[in-house]
Amino acid sequence: MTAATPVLAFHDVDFGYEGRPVLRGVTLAIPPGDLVSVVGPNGSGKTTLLKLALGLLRPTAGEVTVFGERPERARRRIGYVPQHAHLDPMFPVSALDVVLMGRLGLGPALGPWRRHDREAARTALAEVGLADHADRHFAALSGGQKQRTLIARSLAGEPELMLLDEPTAGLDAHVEEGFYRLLEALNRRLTIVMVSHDLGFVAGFVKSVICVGQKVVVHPTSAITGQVIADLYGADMRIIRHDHRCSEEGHQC
Amino acid sequence: MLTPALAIVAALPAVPAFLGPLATHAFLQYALLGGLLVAVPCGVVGSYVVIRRISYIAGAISHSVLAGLGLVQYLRVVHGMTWLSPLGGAAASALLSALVIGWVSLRLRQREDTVIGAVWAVGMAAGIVLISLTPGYAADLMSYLFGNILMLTPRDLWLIGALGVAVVAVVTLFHKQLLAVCFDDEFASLRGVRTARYHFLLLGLTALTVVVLVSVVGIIMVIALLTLPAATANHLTRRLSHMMIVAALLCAGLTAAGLALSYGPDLPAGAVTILLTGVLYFATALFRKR
Repeated sequence: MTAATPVLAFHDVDFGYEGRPVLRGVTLAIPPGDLVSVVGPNGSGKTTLLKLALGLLRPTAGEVTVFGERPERARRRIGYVPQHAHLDPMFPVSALDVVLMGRLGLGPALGPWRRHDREAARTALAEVGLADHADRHFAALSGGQKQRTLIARSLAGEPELMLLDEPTAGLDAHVEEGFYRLLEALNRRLTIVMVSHDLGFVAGFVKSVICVGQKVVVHPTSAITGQVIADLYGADMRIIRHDHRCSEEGHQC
Repeated sequence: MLTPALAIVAALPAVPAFLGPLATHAFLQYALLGGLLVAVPCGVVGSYVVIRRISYIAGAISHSVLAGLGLVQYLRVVHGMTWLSPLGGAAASALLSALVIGWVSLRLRQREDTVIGAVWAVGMAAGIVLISLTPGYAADLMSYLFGNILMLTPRDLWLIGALGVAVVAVVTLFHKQLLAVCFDDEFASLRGVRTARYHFLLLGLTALTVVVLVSVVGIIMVIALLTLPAATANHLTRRLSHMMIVAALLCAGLTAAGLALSYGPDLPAGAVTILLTGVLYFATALFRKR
């Protein structure tokens, strides 16, 4: 990989579900070290963009590359952090058990985890500030702690690119603040791309913003203006508004 | 719920009536040992069934077993193919159902429940028709449906024991992958785990466990013995390995208790076992709520 190779690149990508187009002509390139937020109304295709980057979906046209390779081949270098809300709250695992799942593909294929894997998992938990919670029942953790545990799980896989899906959904404002500080710290060694429906909140801390609407546009954060948001959401919104909710159609904010 | 609970308490004096014959009757010893041996696959596989939420798949597999049992019985009696074993027929139909449901749940996710229902009912229907075509074997239908732990043979015990060893070996080798697939299969597949393979592995283990449990509690009640001890253990533990051990101990205790309580008053052992299992499950669920 040369210095010029983007970590994540879309070249004229189209994607649709059963004939309904979701993304059209998406071209973007994320350089190493970036901290990017993907924003847009509900149903605009933000999560689709993430799934294309992971290779869980294939574009109907165009090409997605991660570290210059097909996403399927680059998965080991990606740390994926899904939303925790879809996970079974009764599931019998400790926080450490969950983080160890991030070692799959790195640790032994058969039998129990080795000491080396356990140490890597504990280091990852410490990095997200949960060193003392390793043996706690995952279900007993707060929403913010669960989210951090899932970040630790992705860190345990030693990623170079971290993809997060709506990481702040359902978090209290003060928890969210600490969460952004954690991402900033991780960004010193990782490229980070996160999906958010909360444009105003992220604008203050990310380096660039990808707006997903009918077209996909990449902006440096400083260029986020009322006009950009109006183009995206189809209404005149103010950046500082934190509590907006968009309709399913995504145009009447 | 209260009446069966009282009935069980009322049956407690029946236990001594069981201990005397246990010392002298080999069939009772086989039954007791069978209940203890079956607890190993029951606790381990049952825990996976509960955490992966495939109880209904296990239910469909267990009911489809009747087709295999009926076919073997029919071929033995009508066509003289006495070398066929009912257990083999049961295993074949269970594995076939597991394959069909597994394939459908991977390919056509939104129609999974319809297919589960179809396998469930069609399996039973085929079994009932085959048994009615077989002269003189209607009595077997009852023992298939409701189980008869008193009919276990030493050969059955060896098979149950072998399945337990195989289940423990497989789970020890693939624990990491199975746990990750049950918890978050999308993430597991992103980490390079072949999730479809483990999906089928779990369904295959479920099918074989169902077959041995049928001999203890019968087709209709298998789903309860497979899932309720594990669900009870889920209330009491916080890690999967502990859940499996507690589920296996509960399963062993419940089948032994079912056998002991039913013997004196001459009640069906399978049904008494399931009543005990249900009482314990609802009791822990209520206790947990408070």
